[in-house]
Amino acid sequence: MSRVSAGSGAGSRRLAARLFGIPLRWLGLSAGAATLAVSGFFGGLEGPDEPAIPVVQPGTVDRGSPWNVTVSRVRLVNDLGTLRLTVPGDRWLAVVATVEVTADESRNDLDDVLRLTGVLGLMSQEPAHVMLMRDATELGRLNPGMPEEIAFVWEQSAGAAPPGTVTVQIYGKTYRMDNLANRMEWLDPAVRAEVVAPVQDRRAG
Amino acid sequence: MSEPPRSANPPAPAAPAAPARSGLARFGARLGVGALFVAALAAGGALTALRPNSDVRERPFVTAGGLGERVSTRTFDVTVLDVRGAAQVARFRQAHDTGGVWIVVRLRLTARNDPTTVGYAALRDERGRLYQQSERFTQPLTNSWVLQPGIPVEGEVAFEVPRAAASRLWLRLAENLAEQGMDSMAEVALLPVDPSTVDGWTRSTAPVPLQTPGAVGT
Repeated sequence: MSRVSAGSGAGSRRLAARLFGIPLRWLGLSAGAATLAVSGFFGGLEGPDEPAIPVVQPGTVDRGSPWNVTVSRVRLVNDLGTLRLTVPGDRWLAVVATVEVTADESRNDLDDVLRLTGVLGLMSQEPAHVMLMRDATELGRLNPGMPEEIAFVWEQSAGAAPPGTVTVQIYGKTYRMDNLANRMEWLDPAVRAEVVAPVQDRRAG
Repeated sequence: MSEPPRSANPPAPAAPAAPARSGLARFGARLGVGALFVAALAAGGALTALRPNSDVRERPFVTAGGLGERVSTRTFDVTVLDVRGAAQVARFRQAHDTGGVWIVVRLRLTARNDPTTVGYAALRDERGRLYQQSERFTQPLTNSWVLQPGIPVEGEVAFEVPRAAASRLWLRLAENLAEQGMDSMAEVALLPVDPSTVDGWTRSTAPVPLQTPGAVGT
């Protein structure tokens, strides 16, 4: 009995010695592989579920940073005063929205506020013009805490069908540390809400 | 591959334990190295977190002053001469209303040693919010006007601010519009006004014409 007991103890010590003798890299790789395998078995390797983009009604304020946005109406027009179409015969698609800067500084990136999706024949992704409805002047800068009604204007090719409804995407940004510049910046523009709005056709003739 | 011949006298039982102890010792040493590595990472992370970021390290060098005082920066001097408010301003006979209130600041600018421009003009309120000069019409004094050393230029700059913020404001001026860090900036405290004065400004219907900038005698 004593021999068996002594042999068992020696075996476990040999096993321990072998385990301690395994190179650390092998141990790490093995642990990593095991973790991946277990994680994959429980769905850890699957992509994250994308949260659904909330849909807000026209006329409803969508609050966020660095601006609150209320999309009020969408219109098709032929003429916008002094603005000139790049291709004669095209039309303007104008989204009118109230924007209030919630950041602490004036913002000059107003052409990042809205995008249109599913509209064929747009000449650009970003609006061709951002106009202040108050006096129909081009708006380059909006100050904090001063909501203004703004027209975001796209040019649509005459060859594309005029849309009956459009989906307006409201973008937001995140104020976070820019690791490259090591300073706080408004980064990561992302869709935070969508507005499905009917298009009022106000083209003359 | 062949096993050594078994001896009649078996080896001492303590002999196989020697590699286990040396394995334990190696494991302990590795554990120590790992702990030191993690501690170094943690200390580095803590130091990085405590280090001020670029916003703090590269902030502008602010020279402060008050209404009527000459405030000097690296490239220009500024004296705020007057402040008024309005519901509408007029530039080139075109009236412009606002959702808040117009603050019109009359100031005198002088380049110090070399020709320069003042590209950044903003008002700061008590909450720290910054309102840059209006871009709804051209404001040459704080946009493109090249100041010559020793020749003062006077003119007005217009800002839109919320009515609630108009009672206490500071004017900020700097040479560079895009980036004010690591350079000098003038900050002038405007006289505080009571809310009834602000209400009076917003009730006036006549547009306030903005003074066109021009050189003045020294």
